[in-house]
Amino acid sequence: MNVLQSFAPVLATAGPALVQPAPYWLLTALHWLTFTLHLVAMNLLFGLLLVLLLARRHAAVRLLEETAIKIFPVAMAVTITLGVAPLLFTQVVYGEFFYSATIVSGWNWFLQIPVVMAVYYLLYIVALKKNLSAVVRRGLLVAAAVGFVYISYTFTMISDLAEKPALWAGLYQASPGGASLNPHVAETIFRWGHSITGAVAVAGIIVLWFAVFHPKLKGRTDMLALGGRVFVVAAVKATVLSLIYLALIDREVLGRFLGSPALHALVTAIVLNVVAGVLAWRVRRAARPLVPVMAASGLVFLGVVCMVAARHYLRLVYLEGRFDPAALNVVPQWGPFAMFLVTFVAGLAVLYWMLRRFFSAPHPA
Amino acid sequence: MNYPVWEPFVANGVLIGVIAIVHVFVSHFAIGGGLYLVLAEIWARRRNDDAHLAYLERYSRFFVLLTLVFGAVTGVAIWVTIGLIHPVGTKWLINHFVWGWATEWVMFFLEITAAMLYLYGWRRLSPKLHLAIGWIYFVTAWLSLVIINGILTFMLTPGGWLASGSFWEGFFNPGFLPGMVFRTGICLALAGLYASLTAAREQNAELKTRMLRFNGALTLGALVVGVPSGYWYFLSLPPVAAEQLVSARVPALAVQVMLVSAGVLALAALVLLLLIPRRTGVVAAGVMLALALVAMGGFEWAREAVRKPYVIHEFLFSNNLLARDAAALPAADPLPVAFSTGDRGRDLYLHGCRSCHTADGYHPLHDYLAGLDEAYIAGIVPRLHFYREKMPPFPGNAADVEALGRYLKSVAGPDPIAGGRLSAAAQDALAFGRRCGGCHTLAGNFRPLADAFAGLTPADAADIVAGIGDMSDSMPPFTGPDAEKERVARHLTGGAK
Repeated sequence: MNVLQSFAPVLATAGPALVQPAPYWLLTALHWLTFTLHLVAMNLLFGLLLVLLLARRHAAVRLLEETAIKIFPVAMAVTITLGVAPLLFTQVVYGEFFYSATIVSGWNWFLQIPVVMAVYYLLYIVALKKNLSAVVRRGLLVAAAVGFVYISYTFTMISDLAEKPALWAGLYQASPGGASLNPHVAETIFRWGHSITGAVAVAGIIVLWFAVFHPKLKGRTDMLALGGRVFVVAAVKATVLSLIYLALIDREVLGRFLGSPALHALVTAIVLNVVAGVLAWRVRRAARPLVPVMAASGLVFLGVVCMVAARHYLRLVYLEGRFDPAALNVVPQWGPFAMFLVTFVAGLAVLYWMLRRFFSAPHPA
Repeated sequence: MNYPVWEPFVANGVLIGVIAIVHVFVSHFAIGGGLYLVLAEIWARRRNDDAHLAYLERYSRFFVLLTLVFGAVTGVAIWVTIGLIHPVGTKWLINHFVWGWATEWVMFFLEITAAMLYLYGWRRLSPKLHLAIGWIYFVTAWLSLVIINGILTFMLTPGGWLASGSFWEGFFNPGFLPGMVFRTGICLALAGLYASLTAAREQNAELKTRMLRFNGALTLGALVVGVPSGYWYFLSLPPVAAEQLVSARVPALAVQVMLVSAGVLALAALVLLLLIPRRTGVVAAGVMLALALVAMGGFEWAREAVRKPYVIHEFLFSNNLLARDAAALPAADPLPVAFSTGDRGRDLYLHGCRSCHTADGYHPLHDYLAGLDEAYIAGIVPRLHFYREKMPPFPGNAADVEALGRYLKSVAGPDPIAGGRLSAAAQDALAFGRRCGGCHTLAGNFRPLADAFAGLTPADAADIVAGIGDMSDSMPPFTGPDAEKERVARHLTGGAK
């Protein structure tokens, strides 16, 4: 006799099935959109922080430092909030893979939380404390950057682990407490290195935006030069690191990856970034930099979308045989989706109204 | 059992409990505090009270630093932690309520944007626009609570969802409305208490008195609302959960903690905020806030405790096993475990027990099983669901029972009776507790045995104890030594003289 037959309460021996609440394409589209926004916010924050620390002797950095430091806490809030949505959609579709990978490396995943909080408060301290010495301020920013290194590396490591279910059983047996690291160290480092240099490249574009709004010609020229150089150098480095990463992954996986739509996404991303690089490099000579900076920003944004798409196809290639989008049991919840959609559109309108009213208000004396 | 099991150094319940309680303590303040700020600003502007407005500007910085950083990050921490310790439950809650979560995400985005604009807008925006942004903050924060409350109450009172699987039936479950009213009350009470912490430092005595009286009225009013709405919430509980609040030790203790600390808090608020506000300092305000934390902790602890042995009532057990999957397992089949440590007994412990127990920490098996023989432990395993403190059934086969029994014996502590330091009566009570106390009380309100054994001699009782396994499948055979049997019998018939 099965023991449950004697279990006192009436159990839901049937009950609802675990289904996908929306078509795969819709969840994927929302994931791409929100993940791209999260990456842009994260790149602005972490990339700009790295630019401040690594190019601190540059005249342009000194000009933008104060403003950048003031916006860091806001950027952190936006980055975290924008990170929630892609994590949500990832868990809906790939939850089984995601949870298993995070549990196998449980401590690393969990420790991100106190690190995120510490970094957040460090950024607030630097932004709000006006009387910090330059050394202390730099020390706090370095500490925040170290925190970001931990967070970003852990994310990359666990994302990579989630694509390699064959590794989990061995890692779990070796360390059931959840202290395992991704054993594919070289792959992880180059994948992470690509994303970090990519973040610095995006920060280069952000520097160009600082230049556009800088009131003095000399400062503007310096910032345009710095932003263009940072973008081009970092984008080249990111490309090299991504090529090394691709060279490190399994040949058979690479073959299928390059045979998937990812190849189109990668080529498109490279073309977009090359054009953006030309614009960013030449913008220092432009009398009116706004248009080329807008164009470069748009191209870079689309380039990030392409990288997100490539990452998506890489995951599908890795999970082939274990995950089939066509086999998902989809029972759409259109009513609740309509609630989200209406809220989302109304939310955008309210957001626009608030920001517009705020920024159109006069600055305090 | 498709996931590996994370084994942090603390019990899962303690880890998620600490994170959740500190989070709700800040997140409820984040909602009530939003309303507090706009109401206080309206009041101060009507009075043209610059000192009050200056205080509110400082207070809004404290508010943003606490709620946007600590509140928001601990909210994410809850998500991260439940994904690690309850992946099955998390997956169900995410998939089924994804559009609820996504809507909450929109609210949260608006909330943080409005909070920052409110903070940075004190000297930049017109009073009307500043207040409008304050209202947007409060409304979106409260709507976040509406969504989270719907999903949280669903776990305890899924209602018609169990049959229909409908998003709306799950969301607007029987606990939704009472939970909403109760939690809104908590938000307002916390708003008054947090504000008192900063108002108590105010140097301007007249302003301090006025603010503390306002805070006191808000807190006491909210606590008054909390009493009927708390009772309404109690009435919405499934009968088996409501019964646990009375009969099971942990939920009953948690409710007592909540009621006592809330009562003391109400009294303290009456005296310190309404009657003698001028003399109230930061320490007194901090003590009131600490009492509120204890009361809130008691509430959340009781709510979690009465949900046991489920994560989703009558649907998903706390050890990640779906009730229907457990019911469908053939009795002869081993419990499928996808991730193994290499030790079958340990695997079964990790999958079956670790979600609520540790070997020697919180709910320690080392202590609970101390002095029991392996055969008896193996006899308990298939009967866990009869226990007074609710536990999920163990659906493994006979070999699994044996393997788990062996592993549990290896973590069980030495027999405390063997030390010889306990009195005879204490030894008898201990023997009764570990052999019968999981499912019975002697004269209490849970399957009491005193009447059944009234008038029997210890020898008669010992005979009954010896044959207990033949009386009912619900009870494990007695496998202990004769001395243990005699101790149990003595306790059942009136105890050692």
